[in-house]
Amino acid sequence: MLRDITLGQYYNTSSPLHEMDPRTKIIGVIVYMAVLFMASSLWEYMLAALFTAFLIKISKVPLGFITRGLKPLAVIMCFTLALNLFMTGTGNELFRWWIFRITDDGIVLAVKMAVRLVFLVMGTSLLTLTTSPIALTGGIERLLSPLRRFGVPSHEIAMMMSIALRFIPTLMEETDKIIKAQTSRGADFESGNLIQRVKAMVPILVPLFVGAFRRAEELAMAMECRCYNGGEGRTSLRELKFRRVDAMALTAGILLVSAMTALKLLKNGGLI
Amino acid sequence: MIELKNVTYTYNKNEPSARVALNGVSLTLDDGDFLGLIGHTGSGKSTLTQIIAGLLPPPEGSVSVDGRDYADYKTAARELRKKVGLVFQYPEHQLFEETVYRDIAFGPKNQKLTEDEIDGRVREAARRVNIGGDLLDKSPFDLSGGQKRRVAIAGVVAMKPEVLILDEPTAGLDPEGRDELLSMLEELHGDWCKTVILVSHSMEDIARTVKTAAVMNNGRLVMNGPVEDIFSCGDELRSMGLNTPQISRIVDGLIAAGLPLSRRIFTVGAAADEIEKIVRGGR
Ligand SMILES: Nc1ncnc2c1ncn2[C@@H]1O[C@H](COP(=O)(O)OP(=O)(O)OP(=O)(O)O)[C@@H](O)[C@H]1O
Ligand SMILES: [Mg+2]
Repeated sequence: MLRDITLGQYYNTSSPLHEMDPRTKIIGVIVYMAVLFMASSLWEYMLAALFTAFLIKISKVPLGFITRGLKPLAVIMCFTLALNLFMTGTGNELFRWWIFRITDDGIVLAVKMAVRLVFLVMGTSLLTLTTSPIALTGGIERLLSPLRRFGVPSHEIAMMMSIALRFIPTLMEETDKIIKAQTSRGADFESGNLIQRVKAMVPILVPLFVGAFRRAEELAMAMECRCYNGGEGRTSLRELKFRRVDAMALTAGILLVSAMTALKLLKNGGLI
Repeated sequence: MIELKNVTYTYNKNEPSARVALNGVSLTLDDGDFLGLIGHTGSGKSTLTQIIAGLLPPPEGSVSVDGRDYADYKTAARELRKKVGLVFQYPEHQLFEETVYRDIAFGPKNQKLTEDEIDGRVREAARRVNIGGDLLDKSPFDLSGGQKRRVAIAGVVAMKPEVLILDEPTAGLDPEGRDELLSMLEELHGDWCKTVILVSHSMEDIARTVKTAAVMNNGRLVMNGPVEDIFSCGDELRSMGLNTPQISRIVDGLIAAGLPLSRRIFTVGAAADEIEKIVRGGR
């Protein structure tokens, strides 16, 4: 189960998406999300799907890797599905039971939300799958740096994020080991009622937190020993540069937004 | 008795990061064995111990427990977990209870023993790992590193497993702590756990503690037999990134210098005796 969390995992290969400047990708993801939320008609969803498929294709990340990131989201997915299904009041009633009524609008909305969520997760996982944590936080730092003037600690935010990302796999490994160790001592995580199950988590969570604090302390010490004292005057080993792939991404982004707008206009004009 | 036949285990199967950690390992653990497990870093020792303890997803190959073959590893794993207690590398990282007593009692409690039995087990285990009664009510997080390690080991020992496996229990201990721990293992093997497996990087520990040893190299079990036979193959061990105990290398040097010593000396004690004989013999 733990292995299913692809968020923050980097898939190392070389592809146009991997080569792209992280800033381009971050902005790209934001645009992508905006476009997703703009989409409303079937055609627009098809466009979004096509574009997502295209991104996955050129990223060279195996599809299984991307879809695996969806599994942990199943709960949220079911929740939004149910919420939209039962709480939409408008439209023709199809089915009614007690206080629940299902309408055709509700079904359409529920499906749309689910599809949107799937694309959202796939698109954002692509960002972390194709961008090494260092590049990612470097990109965030640079994007945020104009806000320094207003007192936003961009370097510190980026550093915190990169450390957090760096420790996700370590903590997962640690969790795995603790689970095994407590299993070997007869701990049972699978049976019992909810309260018992939550209680059964204590032998995992306590060592995990203790370990996380110990690591944090050690890391802080190690960083200070190497004279780390914040972002002031810090330079980068790898300077970020705008290259051809970035220009191409920019073009693709503009194309996507224009296509989406065109579809909307066509729809409003009653042409499709 | 636990028997592994041709066991192969791959981490992250079907992924680019797939890694074969065990490759066709066959091993028979008889009741009463005291086995040393050695191998360089990444050779698959920890993976093997976890397979024996029934803690990993099913590997390829077959596993039988007490002469019973299991069609699938999952049912065997349930049996294995009951029988085998595994002390992980750095077990002190798994302490979690408010007091030492309660942490040691965690295992016996899960075994559904009665209160009296649990109390007996906790005190016995604490005594065996040399944790004084005054420490039982302390928080395990207030102890020293070595004490924590012993409490964690007590947590497994208290379950009285038939097979006790310790994955590098001496890592990071001072020489005295190490000696104490190894003697403790010898005592446990005598009358508490039928079978003990000691995983170690230290040839000295292996030479002084166990009679038989198994050597892992790149996921394969390459040697398995009496410690003397294994340490007689110095060149082979060196080719696998291991070595013979320091004292055997000194003895080899002495032999090369002309002293009539045996080549099968692997502990400082034995070397001292032999050399003393020669010195007294007036040569
Ligand atoms: N959880 C895991 N996920 C993926 N690969 C792993 C995992 N645990 C171990 N491995 C890999 O399996 C191989 C064997 O590892 P194992 O931990 O069994 O070695 P070891 O002999 O115990 O080494 P050490 O002496 O360093 O403890 C190593 O190459 C390691 O990288
Ligand atoms: Mg190991």
